[in-house]
Amino acid sequence: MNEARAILVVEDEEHLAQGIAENLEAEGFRATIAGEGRHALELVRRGGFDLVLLDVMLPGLDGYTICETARAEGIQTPILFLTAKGSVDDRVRGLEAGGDDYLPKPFHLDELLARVRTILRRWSWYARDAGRGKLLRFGDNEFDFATFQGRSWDGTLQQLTQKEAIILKVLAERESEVVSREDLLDKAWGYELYPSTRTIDNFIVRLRKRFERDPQAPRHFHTVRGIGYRFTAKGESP
Amino acid sequence: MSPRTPDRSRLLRIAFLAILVFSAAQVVWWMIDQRRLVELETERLERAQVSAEELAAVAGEHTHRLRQYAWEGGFFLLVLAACVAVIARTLREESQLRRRQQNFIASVTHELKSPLASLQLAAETIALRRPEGEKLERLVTRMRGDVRRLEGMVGKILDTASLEAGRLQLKKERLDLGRIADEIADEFADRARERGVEIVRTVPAALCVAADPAATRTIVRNLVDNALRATAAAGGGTITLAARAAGGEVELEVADTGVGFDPGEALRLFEKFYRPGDELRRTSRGTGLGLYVVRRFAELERGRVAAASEGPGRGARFVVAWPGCGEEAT
Repeated sequence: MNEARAILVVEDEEHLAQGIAENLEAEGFRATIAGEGRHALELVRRGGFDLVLLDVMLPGLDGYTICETARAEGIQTPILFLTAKGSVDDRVRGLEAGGDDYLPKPFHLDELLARVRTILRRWSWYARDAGRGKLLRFGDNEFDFATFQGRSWDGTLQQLTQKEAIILKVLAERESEVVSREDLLDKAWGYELYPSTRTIDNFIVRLRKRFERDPQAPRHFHTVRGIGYRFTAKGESP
Repeated sequence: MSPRTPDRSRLLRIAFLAILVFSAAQVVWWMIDQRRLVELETERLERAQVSAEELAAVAGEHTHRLRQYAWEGGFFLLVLAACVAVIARTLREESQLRRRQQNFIASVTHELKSPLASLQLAAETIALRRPEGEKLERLVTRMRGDVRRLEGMVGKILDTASLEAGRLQLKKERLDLGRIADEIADEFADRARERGVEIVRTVPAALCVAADPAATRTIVRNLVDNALRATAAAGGGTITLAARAAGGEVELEVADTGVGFDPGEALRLFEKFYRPGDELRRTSRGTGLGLYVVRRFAELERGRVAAASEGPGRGARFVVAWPGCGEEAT
């Protein structure tokens, strides 16, 4: 199952990089090591990886910048930050830079492998039906899950972040059903990295701003008080 | 300190500047007022038809008083400006030290957690996969390297703590510098080989220094460690250990072909916590303590240190000098 999965290990600590790579290979993944920031960004740009394990303090170019640059260039390869900088501020910074998860050093091998599998599982779910050219249409909006790009009712180009796209996909797959905040959080993050489910509320606000004619009176992204959200493609009066 | 909290030292500097401007304005206003009083007094005396001689005498006295006020006021302003300059300098130094301490915490966190993470990973790999033969040997070699790195880090932190506490009792013994340099070079031989670095020794035998054995070993070890990091960061190269006796002292030179530094930073490299560049993008690792310990130990031994480089990417040269054994009797 893991045969085709390629993982890029960006870590300048040689022992740690080798240890991680050997364990990933023992689990059936293909591992490539990069010990320098600029080289790592080059490899990420070249593509072909299913996941990037990214250290923050790196010679040449730091991990946050690599992640931000990749995301700004539309590269959506999942990124798991693996770093000695483990404060809440550091974690938030990593996630805001576009990281999918954050594991502070020193870490347990079991936990690292579990997180790697979770991220890959989440992405294979996302990629399953996200074939190029398959568009989600709702109201006068459309969205392409493969490119993370869409067009809103007024013709504006909308480039969604991974998390926004995943949340939109969960809601669209379960159209007209009520989806709890916990379900959305679990699908988009897999781990309780954020202290509260309010994070989801913020993402829904962002989706409404992008796609609703009147974000205050949404027709597609409905709040179900006390539970979560419901998505309707046709559009309903609030 | 969080970057969002206002910088207290900046506020203090603004407050001091405001006090200085206010005091200067006060002195100027006071002098203008005195001058006006003198003019009023002169007018009053003229109206009272005082004789010309008396008027001239009073005017002379007034001028003298005005000059005296000008000198006193000027001197007061000068003293005040000097005080503010001293306080501003102290605040600037304090804020630099605070910034370096923050950098130190970031780098020491990295330096301690990375080998710890590697050790934990190796231990858990052994527990999970039960490797044998060559695989096990490779893991154990890595673990030894990580332990050695942690040992070095802890050593530097403890040396700094002892230096700060000022309770260090240094012995003075006759030491063979050549032998110590050989011992330390041997200590680093494997690590250097792994990183494509060659250590060349040209320290002559029987060069005697009068110093503490542990402190001397620490000085040489920290200099070689520093050179090895810089050379490894440049992708490999050569470290040369050389020594000579001159003018009653013995000089050890540790030269490398590593990443070098900006010549303007030569002195600051020996300051506590000083690390050039951006902490997140560092090409070589360290804590900013190694060279500080070298300088402090050398000073306690009545020696001296110096660093030189022709610029980034052009290698570096570190020199430490101890009193030779001839001074021991004095």
